[in-house]
This record gives sequence, C-alpha cells and structure tokens, in this order.
Amino acid sequence: MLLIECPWCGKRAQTEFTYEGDATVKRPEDGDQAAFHAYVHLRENVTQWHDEMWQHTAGCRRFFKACRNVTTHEIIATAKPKGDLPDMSSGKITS
Amino acid sequence: MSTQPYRTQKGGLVDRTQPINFTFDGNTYQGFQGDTLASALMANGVRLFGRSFKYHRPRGILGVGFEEPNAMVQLRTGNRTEPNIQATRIELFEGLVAESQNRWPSLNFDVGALTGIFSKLLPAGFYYKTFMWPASMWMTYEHIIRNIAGMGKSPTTNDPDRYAHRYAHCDVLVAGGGPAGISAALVAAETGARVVIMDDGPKLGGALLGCNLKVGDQEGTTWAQAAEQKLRGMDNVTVLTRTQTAGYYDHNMIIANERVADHVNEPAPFIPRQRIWHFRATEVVLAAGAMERPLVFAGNDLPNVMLASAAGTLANRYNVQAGRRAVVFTNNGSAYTVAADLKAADIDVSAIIDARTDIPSTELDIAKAAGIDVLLGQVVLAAVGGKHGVKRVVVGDTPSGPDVTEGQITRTIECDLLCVSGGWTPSVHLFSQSRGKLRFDDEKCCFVPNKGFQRERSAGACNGSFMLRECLADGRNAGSNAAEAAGFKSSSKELAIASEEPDVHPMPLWALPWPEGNHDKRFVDLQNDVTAEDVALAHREGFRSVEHLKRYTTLGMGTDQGRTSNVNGLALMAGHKGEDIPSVGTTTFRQPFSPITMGAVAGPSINEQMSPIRRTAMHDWHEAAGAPFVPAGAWLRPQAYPKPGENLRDAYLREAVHVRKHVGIVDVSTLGKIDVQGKDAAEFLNRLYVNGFAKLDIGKCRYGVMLREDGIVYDDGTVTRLAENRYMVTTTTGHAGPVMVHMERHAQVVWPELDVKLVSVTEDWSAIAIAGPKSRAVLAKVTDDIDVSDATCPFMAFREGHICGVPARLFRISFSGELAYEINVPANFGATVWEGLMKAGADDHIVPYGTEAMGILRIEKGHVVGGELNGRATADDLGFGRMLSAKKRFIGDVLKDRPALLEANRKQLVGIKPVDGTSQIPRGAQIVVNPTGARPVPIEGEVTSRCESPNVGMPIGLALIKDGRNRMGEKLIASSPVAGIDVKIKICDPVFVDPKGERLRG
Amino acid sequence: MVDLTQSRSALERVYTPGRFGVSSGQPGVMISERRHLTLIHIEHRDDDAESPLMIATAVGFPLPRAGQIAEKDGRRVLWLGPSRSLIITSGSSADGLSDAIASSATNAAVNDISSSRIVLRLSGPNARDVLASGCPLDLHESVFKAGMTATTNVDHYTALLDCIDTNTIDVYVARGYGVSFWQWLIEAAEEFGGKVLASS
Ligand SMILES: [Zn+2]
Repeated sequence: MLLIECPWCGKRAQTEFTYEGDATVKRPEDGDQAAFHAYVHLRENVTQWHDEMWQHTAGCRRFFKACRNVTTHEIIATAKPKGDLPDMSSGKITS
Repeated sequence: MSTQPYRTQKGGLVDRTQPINFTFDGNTYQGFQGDTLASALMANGVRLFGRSFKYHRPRGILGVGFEEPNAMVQLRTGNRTEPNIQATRIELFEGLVAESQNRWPSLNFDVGALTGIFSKLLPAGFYYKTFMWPASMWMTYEHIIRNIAGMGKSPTTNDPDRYAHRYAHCDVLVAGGGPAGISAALVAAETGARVVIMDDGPKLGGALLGCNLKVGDQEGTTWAQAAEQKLRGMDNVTVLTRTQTAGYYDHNMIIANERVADHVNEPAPFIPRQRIWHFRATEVVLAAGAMERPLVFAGNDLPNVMLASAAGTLANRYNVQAGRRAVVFTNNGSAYTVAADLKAADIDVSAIIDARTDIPSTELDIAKAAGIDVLLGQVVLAAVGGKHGVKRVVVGDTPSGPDVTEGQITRTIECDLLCVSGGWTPSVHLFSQSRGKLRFDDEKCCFVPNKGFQRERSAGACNGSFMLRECLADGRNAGSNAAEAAGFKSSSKELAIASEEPDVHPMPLWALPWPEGNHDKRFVDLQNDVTAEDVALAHREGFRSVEHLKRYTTLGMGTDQGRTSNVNGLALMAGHKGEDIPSVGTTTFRQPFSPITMGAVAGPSINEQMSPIRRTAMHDWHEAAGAPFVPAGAWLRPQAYPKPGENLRDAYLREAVHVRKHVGIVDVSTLGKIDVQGKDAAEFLNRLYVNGFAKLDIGKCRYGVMLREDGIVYDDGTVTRLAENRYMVTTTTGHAGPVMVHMERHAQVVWPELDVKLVSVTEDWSAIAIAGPKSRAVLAKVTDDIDVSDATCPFMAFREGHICGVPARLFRISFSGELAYEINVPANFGATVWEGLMKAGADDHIVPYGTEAMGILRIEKGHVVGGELNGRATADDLGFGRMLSAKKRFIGDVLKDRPALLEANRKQLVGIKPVDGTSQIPRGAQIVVNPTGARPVPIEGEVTSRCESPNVGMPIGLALIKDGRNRMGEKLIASSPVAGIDVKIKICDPVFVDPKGERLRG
Repeated sequence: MVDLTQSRSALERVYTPGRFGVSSGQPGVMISERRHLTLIHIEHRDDDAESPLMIATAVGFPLPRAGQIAEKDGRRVLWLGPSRSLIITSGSSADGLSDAIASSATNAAVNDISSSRIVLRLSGPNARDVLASGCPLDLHESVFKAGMTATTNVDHYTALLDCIDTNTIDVYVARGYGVSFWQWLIEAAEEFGGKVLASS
C-alpha cells in the first residue's frame, strides 16, 4: 500500500485516495472534436514516471497531482492542481 | 520418562514439570511445555510424519522451523481444522489433535505409495503432457489426481474464531528476533526511536535458542531472554513474538501475521486467533536469518535424514535425540559444532563425512575434542532405509566433477540419523520483495543482498553473516544506522563478545552421483517431489529460463516456495547450461513468506463488514413493517410492505394501484443530494447539465440531464434554486458518489476560476416522496407554515417550512406521475416525520410503498433509471434531445455530435406491450424480428425495464429499439434465450399513464 | 427551535449501555454517543481572505490551521480541508450560529449538517488501539495529539477523528453507515473489554 503525500494533509495511506487519471491532459477550450477526442480517449502508455491526478477522497476531497513511477511505485513529488511537478521526461519511456 | 524415549534429561528450553498430552494420527503422546509438535513426536520416537506429494514416499522432518518442506499436518478437528501446517511451527498445547496428510488409508499403509513404484511414468511435466489433451477431460482427471495428491482438507463449516487487523507505525522495524535482530532492536531502542521487533517463535532468540553459544559470559539463551525482557520493558518498543513477517511492500509497508492464540486449544472469549499487522516503518532492519541447505543424493528424503541444524536444535533446545547413532555429512564448517552438540546429548556420532579435503584446523579441533572421526574427501552417495528412517549410509569419494555419473563406494555406515549440511541460504525473501537486488557470493555459495531499493538494511545471517559474532556486530550497526536514518542520535555501544565458532567455508556440491546398484531418487525439492533428474529433463526439453523450469517441474512451488530447494535447483540448472549460478538468476520471491490463513487476511471484513450497509433513517420502521430489502449501492431499500397473507408480488401490485387511487409514501433518502453555492453556481450548473439553470427562479425546481464528456448520458436529477447563489442538486442513488467526484474535479481542476462550493448533504437529509391524489390533503394536515395549494405551491415549486413540526424542505416534483411532493427533513427527524405522515394520512388510507411499486409507477410514466442510463445512450436516444441547449457550452457538447452518435438508426427509448395483452415481457430480452431466423439474428433493440402494470392492466416495458420512435405500432419479438421465452410485443409511446401530465399538475 | 425529543439516533437499534467483550478488569475502551450536537459545515474559496475573518467574528475566534482544531466557549472548530471547517457546538452556543455566519460571511457556503454524522466518543487506555484496528493513520499519542483532527479511513468507513486528549478521541461517521460502523467498533473493542456509556 502506497504512502501518498496530500499537498494539504500530508502523508496518508493509499486507501484514503482515489486514482483520478492522467494529469497531463487538459480540457480543450474550444469545441474542436479532434481535440476533445484526444482529451477523452488518447493516453500515453507510460512505463516509468507519470504525472497522475489523485483525489484525497477519504480526506480533504481535494484533487492533486502526483509524479509516480508506475513500475516501481515511487512517488517523487505531489503538487496542487496548478502547481508544478519535477520534469522527469528524461526518465520517461513511452512505448 | 519411558513415554518419551528420545528425550534427554537436562538443559534446554522445555519445561519438564509441565507435561502436555496430544494426539497424532489417533495415537496419544506426551510432550512438554516448550515443545513443538515435531519435537514432541521426535521425543516419542515418531519418525514418519507424512507422505510426499507426488510419489507418496515416507517423510519425516527435514528442519525444525520455517524451512520444513514435508512435515505438514492437518491441525485440530471440526470447524477449527486447518490443513498444511508445519509440525515444526506448531507449539504443543494440551489436547492438540493432528493428522498426517497425503496418505490413504493410513500413514503406514498408503495406496498412493504405489505411484512410487510406477514413478518412472511420472516425470516432470507428466501432468501437462498426459492430462491436458483432450482439454475437455482435464476436469475429470483433475478430480482423481487431487484425491491422490491429497494435501490437507479444508474445513467444511464456518470458522468459529475471529481475526483482527491492526495498523501501526514505527521509526525502526526489525524483522527477525535472532541475535542480529535483538542487537539491532537494543541499539535502536536506546535512541528513543519507536521500535518494533518481530519473530516467528514464541520467544526472541532465533537460532541462538538452538545452539550452545555464548554472548559475553552468558549462555546465548539467557542473553536472549534478558534482552527480550529489557525490550518488553521499554515504552518505545513493541515486541511481537509468534509473528511472521509475511510481506514487504511499497513505501516501507510491512505485513505481519501474529498468531495470537494458535498456541492454545481455542482462543479465550473475544480474543482474536490471529492478527494481521500493517506496519509503516520509516526504516527497516531485515534480520530474517538463514536456512540450511540439504544435499542432493540418492534416498536423501528418507525419514531421519535431516538438516544438521535441525538435529542440533532438537538436542539443544528441545532436549530430543533425533537418533541414537548419527552420521554428519557436510560440505562446510557449521556442522562441526552441531556434531559436538549431538555428542554432548549422548548421541553416538559415528563420523563427520566432509566433502572437502582441506579444512581449517579449528574444525578438526572441535571434532577431536568431541571424539568424533572425520572422513575428509568423502561424501554420502546414498541413504538406505525404510519408512521409519534411515538405516545406513553409503559413502564414497568426493566426485572429481559434476560429470561423474557413478560414485565409488568406500564404505557403508550403520546409523539411524543422517545430519546433512549443504551450506546456508540467507533468507533474502523480504529484501527481494522490497525490490532489492541480489548477488551471488561465490565464497559463501549463496545469494546475498546487494543493492537495496527501499529504506532497509539487512543484518546477520540473512545478509550472509552466519557466525554469531558477525550477527551481533551486523545487528548493532544496522540498528544504529536505521535509528540515525530515522532521525535519532545513536551512541556507539560496546559490542558483546560471542563464542568462537567455525566459519562456513562451503564447498560447492550440488548433486552426488549414484553409487553402483542404487538409483533411488535424488530429491532437490522435497515438498514437490522434484528430483535432480527432473531438472535435467527440463533442461533437455528446452526449458532454459529459471521461471520456466519452475513451472515445468514445480520446483520451488507449494507452500514453502523452494526455501530449501531453490539454490540447489538453480545450481543444477546452471551446471546443465554450462553457466554460472548468477547468470541463471532466481525466481521471484513473492509475499507472503509463508502461507497465511484466509480468515486472517479477511480479518473483520466478513458478513456485514465485508461490505458495510447504509441504512436510511427510516430503516427500522421498514424492517418492523416486514419489508424485505434490496441493495441499492451500499444502501438497503424496502422492496414492498407485504400485509399478512400477501406475498411480495401481491404487495407491490397493491401498492402501485393504491398510490394512483389514494396516497402513498416512499423512502427516497438514498438519492444523492449536493449543495452547490457560490457566485458562479449557476454558470457551473450550466456547464454540467445539458439544459440551462441560470434563469431558474428562486424557489423552483427543474429536471436536469448531464452527459459524460464523451457525449453519453451520465445522470439525471432535479436542480432546485434555494437562493440567488445556492442550488440543491439531486443525483440517482447509484451515481451519487461518482457525480460528486465529477463535480469536484471540474470545480477544482478544470474551472478553478469559478466560485463554486460543493457539499454532499445526502446523509443529512431524509427524503420522503408522498404521491397520489390525496397527497396534498395529507400534507396540509402536517404543516402550519407551508401553503401547499396548487396556486402557491405549483408543480416544480420549492418551499421551506415545517412538516410534523420539523424544519423541512418541500419540492413539488413527481417520479410517479401523480400529484406528489418530496419532503426533505434532517435525518435525525426522518423517522419522526415518516411516522407523522402515516398517522396524518390514516383517514386517507395512506400506505408506504417500496422500490418495486416505485419502479412500476415510473415505468408507467416512461421515466428512465439505470437500465436506460446504460452508458451507451445519448440524450436524444432517451428522448431528451430537446433539452440540449444550443445557447451554451456544457460537458459532452462536442463529442455528442460525433457521427456515430447522430446516426438515424440509433436505438431510441420506446414503450412496449405484449400483443396478447397478458404475456410477461422477459427481463433483459433482446428485441428481434425473428428469433428463429438465420444466425446471427439481427438485434433490433433490448428491453431495459419491464413490469406488470396493474394500472395499465397488462405487462409493460421500456426498450431501446433502433429508430424506435418511427416504428410505433410495429410488432416485434422480445426474445430471451436465457429464459427460453419469446414474446410478441408492440412498440408504443413510453408514457403509458396520463401522457398529458394532468395528474401531476392537479 | 426544534424539539430535540423528536430526534432519533441512527444507533437506536444497537445502542445498549453496559459492559461488553472481555469482562475482567477495567474496560479498555468506553464508548458514548454524543447526540444533539449542531454541526455546521463552512467552506470558502482558497483565495478568499475575507470570509475567514468574517467567520471568525461570528464564531468568536479564528479558524484552525491545517490538521488542527480551535475551541472556545463550547464551540469547537475542526479543520476538514483547505478552506473547509466543521463547527461542533450544542445548546445555547449553537443558537443562530449558522445563520449568523451565513449572514456575515456572505461569500462562504454554510450548511447545517447536524444529522449527517454519528458522533462517538471513545475513551480509555485502549481507545487508540481500537481505532488502529482499522485506521492507517499514525494514532500514537506522541503523533496524533490533543487538538489534532484528521479525516481518514477506519476500516471500510470514512471517519473524522477529533483528538480530545491522550485517552479520548471523537469519531464522526456518516449517519447511514452508523449501525454497520457500530458493529465494527464493538467487535474491534471486545478484546480490550468495553463499556457503552449512556449517550449524551
Ligand atoms: Zn488531503
């Protein structure tokens, strides 16, 4: 079970959280169908570091971002939705 | 002590003043407090503990603890019986009953042993090759094979005991309570850190309890006891004995299994039998010890061929002579101390047979002092004996290399105990589970921890430091290092001096050749009956990866996961491949280290706690009224309220008629309720729902539909404007949680610029719908301050006031299509108001109605619920097309226009009726033109809801049918191959009752 | 003014004062339901600096910092999350408070959610052990101290914990789960010996 640092509540057990998908996608401003299709359906199949969205469901209810290694489960940092995560792109391998 | 002929008279850790009676395979025996089942049986001269898994060969004990692969028993009887428990880990208790396994009809006479005779027919992969074709027959074969293969029997009745869970946190967790673990814990505890130390045994000490070594000027056992006492006396230390460190997980989570009351016949009242601990440790010290390896030679599985350390522990700790006349066979130095200990326990040690030719003088000195002959450059080629044990060993010259196929016999030695030591295997399981990387230590002939991954360090034998003084030093360093890493200050401590003992110095020795005339099996894996020949066969057949070897031969599978067999197996495989051991690699170590009973894993999560129940404030009333309940998410909802003499169907049909004629109330508290506030609340709701809310008047409700971003309908409900910047939103029962998350995501992440605050208030409000022509009359009786007349409280109005004296919100909305209201009151008053309504409505014949009648009423009105909101239907499919606002943006507005979602032939919501006016429409039926036509039968649509409608007077249903709205009156077939029913139906309008809505506006 | 005698506890069917579980010695944990509390949920925007001040004026003292509680004159304020608090009060100190906050802090969202939770006071030497049977939070008395609060899991349940003192913790659980949670709690407490006290 992971230990996840909520930016507001601190380190808490994984059971308090819900994984809420890819944090790298951004909802398109305009009504372009292709852009919305990408927003809803297209995802990178990342094997290493990934920016994820989590919600502290059984806690403060806030959404936040976590940079997690999906192979090793290391979480290098978490951030508020508008905050920045470290750039791990050199360690990012997509397949 | 004639009852325990193999018990010695002095020393050790058993309490001779406390005899314990127990039963094994129907025979009663006596042992002592401090015994294990294995040691007590050995003291009684029992050598045969069970039969082997595949060949049903007689087996005794190989080890004395975790490492034991064979001596597994069925422990206890009746509903407490438990299979596959290692006799070496069962503490003896008064009245213990155990049975051997893998034998039929008895341990001494076993039919399955015939498979041993035909064992040439059962090579590795035999089952795969023989029984997998034809695949359809495997079920038959499997049944027979399982009966022969045995293993234990699962209990057939409920486990009467309870199992607990516990979460705990610490600065330093020490896994293992041997000398290294104790040292680490002592040092870490001194720093003030929160320390946890766990050991599988009933007391701390580990291997120290089974040998004759000193720490300082104290006996090792005395030192361990004093240390345990000291640790238990410290506030910052938790000592857990009888606790297996079972798994090392991510982010330094350690799972342990404490056997709280396994050492007694049955747990005291309310005491859990076992407890699963979930530890989160800042730093971890792994001090899991090591396991001695057996050697591979013909007949190496005979009873009383056992690990040297096991024989030593039996003598030193349990005061049991494992035999009268022993031979020790070793490739390393550690067995010399054991040989001396055996001698000291009055066992005649005929010889130490050492494969090495050149050994340190310290080892020779030990043998000399004990008066034991040492045969250097010699090996055991075969053990010979029967089901009650080894009788003699065949000795030969150490083979010059792995290619030697027949060993030269030099002598035979009579004995009833053969102690073997093939070197030591560090318990790197936890380290590996933690993603640590191993390396092969050529000098020590074993895998040792190399690069760790989490905040952990290994100490003592699990780190390849096998000697006591190394363990103590390693432990001290690890404890101090761990405490400092956790932020505590550690002062260096004097190191206790330990007895001198020989270093291991093993010689690689993986499988001995057969002697002339003896081709008995040479076992690598004693639990799974995998032999050296099986490994060779696997190699010949092309299984080159170690993981494939494992699956093909079953080497390293089963409950012991290859604890004593892995390294030997890998080494043999490496030999066949002509590679070194590290390049062959190891199989993956998985949690748990040793099996944990399912009851402990489940813990308290059984019965209602497996899936907690949500009850509305009126639940007890429903229950008292005799309503059966139906789950809706976690909620339980009353289905109907059968009167005496009524069945469920009678009841809900009556209720459905009654509501349209008179008045009824239904508990709708389970609907999701979300309070939405903020300057941008209207804008936020506009973006969420397909229809607009900015122009909704204060004090008004509106039906709303929301889409998913992909354009599919997500949920529906009502939105009520409570104030300028405040709305109350309802969701369906099933989507209450997800819709809240959906709204939170958009408020927090997508549009954080909007001023909107969301609170789920589902739990705060009890909700009661009152429906029927008399509902207004009843309501008027229970409120003084709300004018419920149609003029001031018209359809879709919202009012606040008091109902039955309780502050209430009143919504004039209708799910049933009748004149109806929804009342919300604080849940603490829900039951009061429900009862008040029942009382006030008595003259108007008010009845409660359940979900079944509610379902009928809404199908009669063509209202959609979960069956229609199926995750595939668009707003237009469900007839909400006109609600889609073109004046604003909303979630799903872009992708709802994808070409496939706009196709003309999409399935649309329609009503259906049986053409004969009487046939029940089958649940979940497909709508087809001709169910018996050419396959595949084209599907025209599906039934989404169906019921008997007492108000329409026939069965009715809702369906999604291709282009349905343009096919009114068309006759099709509702076909259910599952139920074997085909019913001719006619497409009709989905609103069966009061299509103009006059009743609800009445 | 609501007639409190009309109010029903979610635990009506299960709440029986008296000893339970291991019966020897002093009870390790005592449980009492705290009833008739007023629970006011307040939320404001993270960038709204004004509302907290208005709320503080209405309540009588500043809102607590993250993970903390603030208390004065029978009003206890629990931090629920950023910009979210829960006020616990009862009797006269509750009178009109919700309206007072709503009318002064007009940009805050105020909800009286008094019915939404059951509130159980756990006390005694094993109170923390009982909760630790299902709570992954570090509940050691040196870590989760008096004056601290957290929303977390207790077994399958989401629970709000309010640390009153070393041996006393108040637990808030959704009303609908009240009976299930009660059953869990009693079973977890039985091994320590327990006592259900009269509700307050
Ligand atoms: Zn949080």
